[in-house]
Amino acid sequence: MAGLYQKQNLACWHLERSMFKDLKDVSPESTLTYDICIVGTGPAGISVAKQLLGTDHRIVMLESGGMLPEPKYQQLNKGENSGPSFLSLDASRLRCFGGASKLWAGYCAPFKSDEFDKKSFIPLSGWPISLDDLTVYYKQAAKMLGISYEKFYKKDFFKDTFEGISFKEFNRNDSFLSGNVFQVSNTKNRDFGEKYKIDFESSVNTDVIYHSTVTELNLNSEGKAVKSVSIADLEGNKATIEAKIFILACGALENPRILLASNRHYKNGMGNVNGLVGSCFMSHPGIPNVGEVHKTSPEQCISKDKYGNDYIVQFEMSSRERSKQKVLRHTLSVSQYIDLANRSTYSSGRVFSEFGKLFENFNFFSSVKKTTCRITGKGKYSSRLLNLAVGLEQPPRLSNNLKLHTTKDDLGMPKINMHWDDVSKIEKDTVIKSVKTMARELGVLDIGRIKFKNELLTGKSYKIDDPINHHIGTTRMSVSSKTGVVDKNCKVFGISNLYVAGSSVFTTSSIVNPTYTIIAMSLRLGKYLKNIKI
Amino acid sequence: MKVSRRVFIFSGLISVSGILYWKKYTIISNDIESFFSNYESEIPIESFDDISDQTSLFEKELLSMLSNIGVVKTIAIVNKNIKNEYKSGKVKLMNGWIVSETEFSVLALRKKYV
Repeated sequence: MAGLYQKQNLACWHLERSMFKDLKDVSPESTLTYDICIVGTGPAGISVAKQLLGTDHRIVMLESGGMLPEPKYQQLNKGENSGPSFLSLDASRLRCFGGASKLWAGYCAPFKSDEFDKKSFIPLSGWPISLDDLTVYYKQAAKMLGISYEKFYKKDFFKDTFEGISFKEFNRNDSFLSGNVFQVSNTKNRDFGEKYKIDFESSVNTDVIYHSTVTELNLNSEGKAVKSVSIADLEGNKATIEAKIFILACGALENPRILLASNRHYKNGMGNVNGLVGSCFMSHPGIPNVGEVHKTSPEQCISKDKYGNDYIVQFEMSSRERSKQKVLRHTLSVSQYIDLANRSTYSSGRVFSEFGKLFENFNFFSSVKKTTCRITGKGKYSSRLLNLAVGLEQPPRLSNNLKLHTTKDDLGMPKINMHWDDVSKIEKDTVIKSVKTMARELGVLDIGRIKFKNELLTGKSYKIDDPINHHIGTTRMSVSSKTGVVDKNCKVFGISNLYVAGSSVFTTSSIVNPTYTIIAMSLRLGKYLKNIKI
Repeated sequence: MKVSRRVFIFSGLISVSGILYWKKYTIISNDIESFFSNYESEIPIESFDDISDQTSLFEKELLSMLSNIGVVKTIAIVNKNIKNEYKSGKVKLMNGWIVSETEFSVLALRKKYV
């Protein structure tokens, strides 16, 4: 029978069987032994563990927080910013069973095949795996999230799902633009903590210990394998977990933090021979008001968003055009109320001018018609003036990095010191080229014209105060330890039994929300571990 | 009043050429106004106050087209050119507006004629 294995005085004995256990209920200073230890119970940790449920391996999942979020454990996420741009380090993270699956918006889209390729204009690009390596896991992840994998690639999907002529035309064969479909996983499906809790409660080979924050990875005497992890809670309880395999699945901020803080054997931390742990941090900067789209006719339908429903579509350059113009992936979002919906409008005092814009072309009948369109999801928008926003992929850059701060949290762990400069030349070029390309497409179809925000052309106004909190990179996947932290199987270079799951292993950041790919890649890792001999 | 044959022919030629000149000028003037009136755009013409050499060249071409093929066909050709320029990437920026090169000239001249 599997269960919590405690080793004391070389004896191993079973605790009373309970799959979910608070650290305070485990014997003080005890050492527990398993086959596989998964650190983190968010989408990545749960996806890895799900592949291992019912196997002969004895699994333990360690959750820093409780079964539900608790403010005092959330405080452990606090860190410092030293870069020119501010990134909120405690946003988009949740320390509790289910982790960020309780937070995310549920927008799902797979990476495109060309994103895995090395590109001459993006240094450090090129994954050691391809889209084909993930396809089967994307399908599996789609089932877990209650969405349809096939619909991402269904040619008549737009026609079936979205009404209006413009979008269909945007997808003509020689179009400069393409539509990017995001399927939205509903709350019931995307909250993995709630959805899969029962699977772990009934599991015979998996334990979950909550209130157990990993404070250090302990290497064996040769320094080539992890022997154990030290865990602690905020009440002063401590324990040690021994295992044959360890998987870090705590997100792209916490994974490198743990590796860097585990510096007893190697002073620069674990897996950090070439100083790459914590480097190449990426997010998805966005510029909410790049310009205005002026439709040639109120009857033209440009925006195809269906917020609140199962799908949204955002535009971007086609893969062919993106490669030709040497730009990053991006989204071109058209909407009427984006400025009023954006927090920066209020912080910059533009609220009155933006509110006034609503009435610039005000027409009672068209407003009624537009509102009806939004409610029913049918018909065409009637406003001529729309806002254009651009979201950006961020390229991997060594200068965007995470290090340890001199100050420590309540468990004695060094806090994160984030150095993040949100946009560089290639991002700025991408904004200008993508907007110009959209203007060309609108011009070819005679749908509308675009007025670009002049300040952006001169390179000003690119500072982003409120980025989308997607945390990517920091333990990047590569073919070699010279360019990455983990190999194609997510194993840390130089450490024989340490793996990393989650968006920290992404080589490049794409533009799509990362969670769908996190789940797919974690399922792939789980399958790999299931098949190897431990 | 007796008019000599020579004076009659001479004044006749002057009158006819004058009428032709006046008529031609009037037609062109009306056509170009008609052309620009027909060219609807969301873009405010105040944004286009720079008449470059390229625009002057386009103006000559436009006058020639209007006199040779008329307004309707000229509009069709200009619209086709504008679409082709968007397709091939011949676009310009003026006060933030992203427009095709021909459209740029059209907008600049529209301010002059409308």
